[in-house]
Amino acid sequence: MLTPEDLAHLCQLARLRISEEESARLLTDLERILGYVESLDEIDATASAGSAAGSTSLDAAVDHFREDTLVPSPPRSEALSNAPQVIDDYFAVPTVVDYGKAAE
Amino acid sequence: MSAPVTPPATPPVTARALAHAVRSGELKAAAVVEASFARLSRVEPTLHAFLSLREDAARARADEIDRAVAAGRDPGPLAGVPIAVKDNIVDRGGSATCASKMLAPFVPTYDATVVERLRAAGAIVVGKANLDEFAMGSSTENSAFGPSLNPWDPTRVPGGSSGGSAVAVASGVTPVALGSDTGGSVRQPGSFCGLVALKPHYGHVSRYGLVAFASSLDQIGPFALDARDCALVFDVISGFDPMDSTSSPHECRIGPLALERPVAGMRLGVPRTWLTEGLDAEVVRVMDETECRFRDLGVDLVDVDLMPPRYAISTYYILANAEASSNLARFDGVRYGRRSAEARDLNSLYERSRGEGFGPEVKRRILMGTFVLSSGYYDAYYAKAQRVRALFKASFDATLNQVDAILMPTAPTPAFVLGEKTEDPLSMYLSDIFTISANLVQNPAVSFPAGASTGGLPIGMQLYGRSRDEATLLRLVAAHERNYDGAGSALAPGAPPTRAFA
Repeated sequence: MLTPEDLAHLCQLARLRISEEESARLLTDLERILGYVESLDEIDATASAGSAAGSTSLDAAVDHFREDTLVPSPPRSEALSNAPQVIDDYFAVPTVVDYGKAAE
Repeated sequence: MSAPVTPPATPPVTARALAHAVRSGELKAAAVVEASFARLSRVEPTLHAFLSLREDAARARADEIDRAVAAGRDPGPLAGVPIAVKDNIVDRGGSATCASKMLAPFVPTYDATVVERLRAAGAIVVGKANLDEFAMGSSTENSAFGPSLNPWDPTRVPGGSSGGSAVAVASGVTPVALGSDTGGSVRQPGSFCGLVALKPHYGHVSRYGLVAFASSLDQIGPFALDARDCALVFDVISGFDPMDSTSSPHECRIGPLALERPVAGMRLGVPRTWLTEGLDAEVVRVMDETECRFRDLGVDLVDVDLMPPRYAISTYYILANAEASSNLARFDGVRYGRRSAEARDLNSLYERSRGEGFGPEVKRRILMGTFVLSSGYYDAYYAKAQRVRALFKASFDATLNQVDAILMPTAPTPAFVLGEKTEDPLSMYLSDIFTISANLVQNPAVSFPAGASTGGLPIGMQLYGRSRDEATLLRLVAAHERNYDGAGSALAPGAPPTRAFA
């Protein structure tokens, strides 16, 4: 049973703000979906080779690293071109550490 | 509710016929592109297949192709072919909204590998196609910019999540399109719109430039009017790419001759126990008819046992959502995408930007994914689902050792009515019950037109193939096309969707 407190905790983990209205709807939906996926309890998978730590490809032969060769980076102006806010050549964000307060 | 789609005027034209005409100088790429935009301007107000257009770039590229032909150079196997690309694949200077308010202002600074390869083959991207937000959905109704409608019946959905791409092809705007398939998002709209729609083997098509949803499941695939066009596009976009660490080094090109080979003596498996509850009677009928047609072609059909599909749905919605919750963590309002104007500090910047930018289905999946990965639930849900996924892989591999491919419907019903499933996410998820397993086991699978409902809606059937074996699938589809009247196929003359190309 998923409680409103559980949902609030999940929202905090996911850094996702939801409204009261959304919260009520989400509780119902998630409860139903989780109820459905619990059908997996019917399967004994203890002998399965599946690994949660596995790679994205099920085919181990596919996993590979690319050659460590030198290639030009995209120009800084391009990397910044979609930023919501830029100050000089940096992404701007609200104050993360307030040194003024920290010094007090 | 909508104006009727303009009735058919000209017969459908395949991508290879267009490319042939452009390469030989019979037809100007510029004329092809104009015809595509003319068709688009007639159907787009009703169907809403596109989120953005590339009119200037497409015309400029067409002129380049015409100049190349005039100078005696070959612009490539897709010379002058207009194509629609799902708007979760980046194109430099274009868009990649993912049908989300989160990425509405985003302008890509590079081309996805598939876009680069299409251009190098002479194809012309005319626009970016509508989808369910971040490819999460089965109807395009989750698009933040409004749904696309089915050209066979605009009161119905085209399927999803790659619905806009399917509509572009089925309504005659482009002969081919690209979508992405994480749980059926190419095949199910292919079935609903009367197209051949392929999910390639995992790793065969580079995802560099595809906005990630669930990285162990996502694969880009083509929509086409028939098997040969589908193979043509697959051959252009597939193959090793150093920019995608999951890209397969194996040769996977199908080539022009593979589809001509006879299929007599091949074996198809039918998972009879899957074809039970919730299956529309007309889908059952079309399945029977398809089995008969394959038998007529000399193919042996045998019943096979697979793990029950409800477990695939459960496994999928745990793993896909877990992966989505991590992949979508990148949308934080800092480097690109929407930033909330209300933010006071860094945490509220994240929380508010994400709360404002994501729609309801995306939020639902992020939270579900966060739940199954969270402390105390990880083993019971995520780790268990990974183990069940391995059981599915073993089950399909064992079956595919006995048969050349597995035949089943693509979807349990034909295209459903708009709004029918939007209030019940679980019922929407169940429309992917036959497609999801291919993503879990990473094998190729294709949907192909196989019939129509009495109301005239397309009904597609599906083939699952062996590892890395797209060629056998499309060879079977090509053989089926030779023994089929074309009912429910967008390629059939007089099909409801009309064509722009004379």
